[in-house]
Amino acid sequence: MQKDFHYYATYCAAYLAGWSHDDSLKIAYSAQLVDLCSVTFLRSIKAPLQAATTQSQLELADAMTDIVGLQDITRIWASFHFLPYDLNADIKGSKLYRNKYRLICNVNGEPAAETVRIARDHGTQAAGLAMHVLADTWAHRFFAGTPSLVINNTNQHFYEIMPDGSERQIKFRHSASAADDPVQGLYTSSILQYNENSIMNLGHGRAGHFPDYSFAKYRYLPAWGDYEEIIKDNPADYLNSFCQMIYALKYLRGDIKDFETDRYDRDAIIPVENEINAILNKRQTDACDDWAALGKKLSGHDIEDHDLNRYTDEYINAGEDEKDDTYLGKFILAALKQKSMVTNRIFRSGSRLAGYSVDYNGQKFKGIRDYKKLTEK
Amino acid sequence: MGKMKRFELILKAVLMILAGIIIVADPENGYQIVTAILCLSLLIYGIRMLIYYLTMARHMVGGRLILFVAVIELDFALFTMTLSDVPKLYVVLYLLAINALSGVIEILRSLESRRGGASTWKLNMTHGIINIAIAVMSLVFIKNTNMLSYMYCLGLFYSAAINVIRALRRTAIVYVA
Repeated sequence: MQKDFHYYATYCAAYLAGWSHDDSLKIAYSAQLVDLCSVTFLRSIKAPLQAATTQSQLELADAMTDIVGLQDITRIWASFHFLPYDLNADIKGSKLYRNKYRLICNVNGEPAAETVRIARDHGTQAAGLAMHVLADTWAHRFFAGTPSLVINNTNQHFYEIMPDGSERQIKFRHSASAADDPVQGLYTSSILQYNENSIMNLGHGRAGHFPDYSFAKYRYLPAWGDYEEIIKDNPADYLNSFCQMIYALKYLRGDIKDFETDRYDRDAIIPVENEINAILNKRQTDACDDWAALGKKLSGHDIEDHDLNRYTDEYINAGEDEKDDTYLGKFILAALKQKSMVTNRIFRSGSRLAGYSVDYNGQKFKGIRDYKKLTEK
Repeated sequence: MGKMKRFELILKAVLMILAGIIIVADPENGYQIVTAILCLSLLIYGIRMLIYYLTMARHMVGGRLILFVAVIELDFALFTMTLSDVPKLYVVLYLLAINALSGVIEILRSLESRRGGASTWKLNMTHGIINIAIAVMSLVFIKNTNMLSYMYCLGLFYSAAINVIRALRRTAIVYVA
């Protein structure tokens, strides 16, 4: 998913869930920040680097794919963009294969429920971060947030199902500078690399941004699926994602006692359902304007564009004791908490792909120092 | 490209230059050391691919391709191992043939990159053409086995330079968000 859904659509979902305009904007800002909070950004504001929720292109280009580098990549991408569905999945194969298989992202898993639950009572920043993770489970399902040829590879058996029911083969090209062309069916993807841990095999890189487009309906052969085809219906999935966000945001507001998976607030969207479906089905690579217009229709307010530096001065100028109470400080805490939770779950499944996780015994702190913040709050 | 991959490319380049120097220093017998290094590299690569297939790639759609690559690599390794009793002329010709084959593969790769719109196709194409050209030119000097050795060295130095250029090049990555 991209800014159109993570920022503008999240604003609409928050507003429909009953949050005020200002709070909806803060939630949406945080949701989009997950795609921008890289080590480079954190370094520029002198914040804990472990709170990185993404890696920029340059960071990825220079990322080491030794064991420590892979753990760092997996912690970021599995925690925030490709949340694993079933970390105890029983599958035939070596432990190496099983550990990678278990990182496949899908919707309504227990980690997704935990992501929403730990965000409750932690402000709009934690709510927005959780919405990003939740929404991405729908867009990125069937891919894993770790470099893996055997899980994430796709081949030429990749067909778009057009609105009239006809099909056409997707053409993937490797020109990073060329824009995706939905009219011709041309999309940029990463290059095939037979190295299992090549960064080219991270997430849905082999299918480019195509899975991120809400209009995309397609069938393909996932590398892990034992030659069984998957039909992915993004308009339906994105609608579910939107309705699930409304339900989750109502829970985070305190309107619902318990958060359960596979629950969607369809009643909330009835007045604007046609508009939402029209946006989701429109063949475009950027739906920001359409979602922004819907947001304005709902709240009556213009939605200002996402500005990465909106809260940086507040964070930089705050004293050491005050940083955690700033907007970015709270976002950083939420990011550390999410990363800590997902890493712990992966570790407890017997996999070291996201690194080691140690339980805090309430006395002596062990582990990466950045996470000490979590014990202080 | 990760730092490990860059390191691997530079290491490969250093080994190629070393092999070239050995042959230049002793054109009569240096080729035997090169053959041994080539055999060992193919063996290690083939075994690595085989383990990868057995532990992971056999579960993957199209994973049998990894097995084929592993078997071909091991085949070449074993064949190279048997070359100790063969006259020098044939060994050097074999090495040149491998050079030419890698040239063909480079050209195929460059054509694939070009179809995919990647800008790296020109480098691959040049590498491939020069590798083949060296192999063809060597046929002209087929009676002078020392000259064949020097021609082979030229190919090695050129491939080493290409590997260094590749290692230092920035690579475009598709951003997944």
